[in-house]
Amino acid sequence: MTITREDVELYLMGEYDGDKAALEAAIAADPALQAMLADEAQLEAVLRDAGAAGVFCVGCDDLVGDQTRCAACGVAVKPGGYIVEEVLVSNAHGRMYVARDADGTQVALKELAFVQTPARDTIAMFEREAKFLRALEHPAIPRFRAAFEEGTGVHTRYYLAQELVTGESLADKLDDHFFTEAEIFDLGKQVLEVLVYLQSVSPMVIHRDIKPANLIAKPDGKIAVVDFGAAHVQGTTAGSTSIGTFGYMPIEQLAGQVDATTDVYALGASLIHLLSRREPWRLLQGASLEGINVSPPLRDFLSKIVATEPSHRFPNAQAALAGLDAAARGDRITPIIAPRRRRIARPALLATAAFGLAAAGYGAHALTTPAPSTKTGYGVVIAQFTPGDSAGLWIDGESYGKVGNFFTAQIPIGRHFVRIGPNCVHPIDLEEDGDEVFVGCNLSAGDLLGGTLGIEMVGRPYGELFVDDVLVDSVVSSGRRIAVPSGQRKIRIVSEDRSFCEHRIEIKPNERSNIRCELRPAKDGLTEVRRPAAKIPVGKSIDLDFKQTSLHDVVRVVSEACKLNFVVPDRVEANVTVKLKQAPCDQVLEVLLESNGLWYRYEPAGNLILIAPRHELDREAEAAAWRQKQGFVDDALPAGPALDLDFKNAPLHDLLRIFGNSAGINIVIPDKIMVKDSVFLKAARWDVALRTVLEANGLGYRYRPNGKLLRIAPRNELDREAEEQQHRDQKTR
Amino acid sequence: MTAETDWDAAIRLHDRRVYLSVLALGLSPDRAREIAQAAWTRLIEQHARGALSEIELPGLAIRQARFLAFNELKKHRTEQRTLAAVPDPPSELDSERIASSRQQLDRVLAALATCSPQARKIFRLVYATPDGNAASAAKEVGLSLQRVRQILCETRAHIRKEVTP
Repeated sequence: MTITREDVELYLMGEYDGDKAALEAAIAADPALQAMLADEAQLEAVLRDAGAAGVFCVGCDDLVGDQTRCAACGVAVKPGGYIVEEVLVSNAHGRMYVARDADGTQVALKELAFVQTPARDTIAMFEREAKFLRALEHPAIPRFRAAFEEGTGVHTRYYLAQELVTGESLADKLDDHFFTEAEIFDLGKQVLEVLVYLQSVSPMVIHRDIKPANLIAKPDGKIAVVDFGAAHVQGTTAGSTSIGTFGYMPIEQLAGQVDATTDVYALGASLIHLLSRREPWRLLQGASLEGINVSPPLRDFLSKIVATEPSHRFPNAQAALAGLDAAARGDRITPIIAPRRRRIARPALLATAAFGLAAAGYGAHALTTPAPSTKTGYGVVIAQFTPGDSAGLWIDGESYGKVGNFFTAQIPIGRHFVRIGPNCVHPIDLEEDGDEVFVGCNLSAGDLLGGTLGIEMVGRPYGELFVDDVLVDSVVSSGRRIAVPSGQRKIRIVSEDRSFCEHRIEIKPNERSNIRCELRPAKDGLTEVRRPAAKIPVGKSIDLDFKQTSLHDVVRVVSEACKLNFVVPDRVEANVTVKLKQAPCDQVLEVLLESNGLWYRYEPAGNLILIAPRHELDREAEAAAWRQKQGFVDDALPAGPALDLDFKNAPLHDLLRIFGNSAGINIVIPDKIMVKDSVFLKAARWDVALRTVLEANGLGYRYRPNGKLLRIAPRNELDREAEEQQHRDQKTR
Repeated sequence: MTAETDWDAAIRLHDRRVYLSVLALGLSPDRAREIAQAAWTRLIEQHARGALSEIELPGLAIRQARFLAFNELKKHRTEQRTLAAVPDPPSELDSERIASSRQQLDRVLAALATCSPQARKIFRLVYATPDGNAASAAKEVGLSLQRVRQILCETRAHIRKEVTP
């Protein structure tokens, strides 16, 4: 048996995987090895002493010795006697640490930092927060421990120590969990009870930043409300500061006005976000709750809790709690928006391209004089248009600015004139409280866009909706009604378990159509397992031994061992336990992926493998076939250098910057694309790697060689553009 | 420290360090393990009799183990008539030895400061974390176990080179 120094080192570290008895016997029989063992044991002992004696920065692992703050990254070492163990959050205003007090109890330690010497009112605000936190006592609110300051002048730091709440924020939970109606009732009740408590203390405390990220689900299922940094004690300051998170806060909070309905509204916005997975800021546009698949009592409750007009909401948390309890019993409350009828507005083509300017002038005049109505109440107008992402919208001559597709506005019942863009004007009649009217425009032709499609789901509550193989909505549910361009359309809904329904339907302008989607198993034809066209090389045989390890890390090891390049989007997340000996690379990969509902696509040109959920690869393959059939061809990319990249969960923006810099091209990518990827590349072809990274995230590109400009956009947007271009070309011909 | 469970925790935390200190004297792994166990047993007995006024760990356990180890070496070499080659156990108040240990520790920390951030992080996770080992470090830093072990060996080599006179 040959014993190396590394074997001895690993043995001493307790990391030797071989036969320890044989190793010890070999050492005992060889004086030279005994000397080596003694020598290494001495070093190991000193290293352990160094580990115990050394003070490491928890932010960057620099050795900080007896400094109070890491010179490299600024993380505190032992503020106020609390030993910092972990940095939870770090931003321009300070940090949030996990620290341990002298008794060994873990606390959450909030540190406020300043770029200038803190002003008197800043100090007062901190002291006020500490004071009211000290007074709060509720099982769902982290207990106050201590408040103190350190340093002087610009080096002043304020600290707030609170009970450490362990658990997962609801925002994080949303990533891999669909909230049921029962869970929403439970969450709402728990948080409302906290709000009732906050509103019962004197003076009343308003949290001002209730949102899923500040609601922590503890391991015992209870919810804790954290981060009172934005909290406001009624009567202590002039209500002029706008604090909160856009989308979750009611519109009047933007102007600094808060009251007992503020946190209740924010809770409602949070619950709707958890239920619908839609961005809560859409509520500020008066978005309908119609598409959310919940019972009518809960929908009524939610529509009341997030009413735009404060006087329409529950007056306080106590009333909201009573409303929620009533909804849980199945009692209906009077909703603010009670959709009863949906109709399509008949177009009034006041303008055509020939006399557009004159008509626009007429329209502007006509729109300022709405017809009188004897009834009272509100209805909803939903606007949709094509082409483009935004268009100017006027209702009765009042500008709503540039709005996006499916813009929704709540307006009094009666006759109104809606104008989208310069040429498309619709008179609409909202006859009763709760009426909804669609207004659709083809902006280039000035006519109505199409009809609407109502969806009833059978078997599963949600699915992805495709119209003519283009993904239109990633979460469609029963009760949804969407506007669809007129003509013969292929409608397909694919659920999470890959069962699907498919309908071919004629959508007529101004008319509503319905489909009843009865999902059938995937094996009926849509989603039979589609093996990749190209098989990865068998490669050499490797050993793997991982326990509960992130798939990304395992793939990185496979990448190194098998000399393969990989792209793995961060939504692919799984922990794997695997122990394989001398297994061929291709089989290792297939077993790893198959056991996690994943699959791969191999690009021989770049020796590159894209890993993604099976159904996404299938869908992309179908979409690619459709694009080919339509004659859509990707622009040719310039030649780039071979790439070596090794990143785990790197933001796509950063990756694309590297791609751009390495090939000397300009890349434009919209801000809204916020995804991350792991890329493990060695000498990978630049163009293949770029295409794969984009494809991994449902993105495509357009390349203009003149300006060396690469525009990145979602694939479905690019497809739509290509379709419209094709349509324009046909018309021109 | 009165309860039995406290000793269990202390042994779990410090036993490896005590074992290494004996191993560093040149004893075989088997014998070193026996001596480390004997040292703990003696301490527990003394503690139960109330003979220990102050317990500072792992220093006390290391001193006890080294004492037993020196006795063992003496006995062994007396049998082989090589007593003269065996040094006496060092005095607890040997200030020169303490200063030397301190200097060595400082050199190790200085050498560690010149390692890469990743190596320092792995070192911290393995050597400065209770129950730290390469597997937990690998999970934390997102590397394979083999790679973490390799980095640990490289770090040791670097430190050995820096601290060896």
